[in-house]
Amino acid sequence: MTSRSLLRAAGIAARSLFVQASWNFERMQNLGYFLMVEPSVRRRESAGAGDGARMRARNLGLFNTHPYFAPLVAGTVSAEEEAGSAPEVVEGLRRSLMCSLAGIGDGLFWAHLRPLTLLIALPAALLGEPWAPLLALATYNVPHLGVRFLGAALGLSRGRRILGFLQARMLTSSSPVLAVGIVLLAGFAAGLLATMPAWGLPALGAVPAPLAGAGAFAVLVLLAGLGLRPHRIVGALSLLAVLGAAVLLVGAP
Amino acid sequence: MGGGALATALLVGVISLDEVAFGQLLLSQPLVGGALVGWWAGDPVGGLAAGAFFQCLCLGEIRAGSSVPPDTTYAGLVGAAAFVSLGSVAQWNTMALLGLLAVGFLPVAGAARLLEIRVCRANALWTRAAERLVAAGRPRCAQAAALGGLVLFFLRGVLPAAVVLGALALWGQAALARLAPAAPVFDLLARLLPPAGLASLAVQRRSVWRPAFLAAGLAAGLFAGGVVR
Repeated sequence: MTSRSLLRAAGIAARSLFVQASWNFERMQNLGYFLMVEPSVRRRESAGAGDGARMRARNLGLFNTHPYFAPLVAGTVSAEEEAGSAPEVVEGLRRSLMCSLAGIGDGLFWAHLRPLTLLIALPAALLGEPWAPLLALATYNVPHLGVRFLGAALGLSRGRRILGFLQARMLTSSSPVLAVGIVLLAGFAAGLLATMPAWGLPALGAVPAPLAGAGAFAVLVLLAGLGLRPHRIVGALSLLAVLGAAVLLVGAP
Repeated sequence: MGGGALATALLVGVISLDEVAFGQLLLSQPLVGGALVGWWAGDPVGGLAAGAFFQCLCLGEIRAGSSVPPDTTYAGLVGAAAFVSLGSVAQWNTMALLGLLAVGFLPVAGAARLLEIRVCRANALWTRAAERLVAAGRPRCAQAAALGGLVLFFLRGVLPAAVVLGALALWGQAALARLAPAAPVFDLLARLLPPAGLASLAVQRRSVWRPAFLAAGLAAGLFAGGVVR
């Protein structure tokens, strides 16, 4: 790739940061997609390669994919349109890419990478280390921004050949390694919470504080094993706390 | 409403843009956003602690596809901001305050998600505007219209935070004084919620969650034994 095309890729990646700026139920990320491909449309319009208004109107159609993979789709479509591919071919390519990458991105980033990087920083945050947020930001955004930029660059350079490239790499929405990492880090953080005096349960009679905390954790894991969503567990425990508080307040002098 | 509370609410509004409208750079997660708000308010340690607390509560929520749970990420950010704005309160230790704020976690999360749905419906007007501008041969203005949703998402981030922080600024101290006898209950709640949230996150990985027991036991043993302090 030339430095010019790398700059173009960086431009698409930068514009992709706004891909959900005006997310709407009707056409979802259409306005963000319009922003990403607008430089390519201007280029073709100034070269006399097409009707700008018609191209722009087409680019305001439905678009929805994982935001980190949006530059890959935009780069691929831009490359194909600049190569003179038929509009229906380009549209088919756009739809197939955006649908397949949406599920992969949700699983890979939202379900795995994001909780994993937050869990990496969580123990440091619980210990009061001021660099903990920076650790989370760095470990997450290096791969995140890399995916945006490389996706745009690969899409621009390969066009429709990106399909074969992606299939050869067998992108998947889940990873057993990441899943185990999440579970182990979550357990470590919970154990930390259970045994730190600032965060854990106090001693309960003859039961020392760390064991009280570990026991509470075990009970909570068993409850969580019922499959309740986190916000339902928070709601149930909060409701119990409110009831307990009400009893205390009624009985208070 | 105090100027400090309004400024904090505006900051929360800016940070919350990262959740959907701009970047998704992890800034809106309570662990990072709470630290930012704490630094802004002059209490970086408190902001980080509150952020870590609320982060444990929302790690297990995954918004993917058509699943739209309550916006616990935003609620955690507001919770951290509320903790920082309260400062130190007589008869309430850190954990008791966090526990009390956690009770408001779900209502704020639910309200935030409802507002977000309204914003996403309203954002269709930017598509109409962009289409008109494109047809009129004004593509640069159409690009500006494409960013119009940032304003609505920002307002959606500011409004619940302003309500919560404003209420705390006006009535927070008096309410806390009245609720002081119940502080131990909220202290206990705050000590149970984070492990519960983390356990829920682990159990979602149904085939591999049992190692969490081993990791937790090992960590507990290490710290109880004084290997790590």
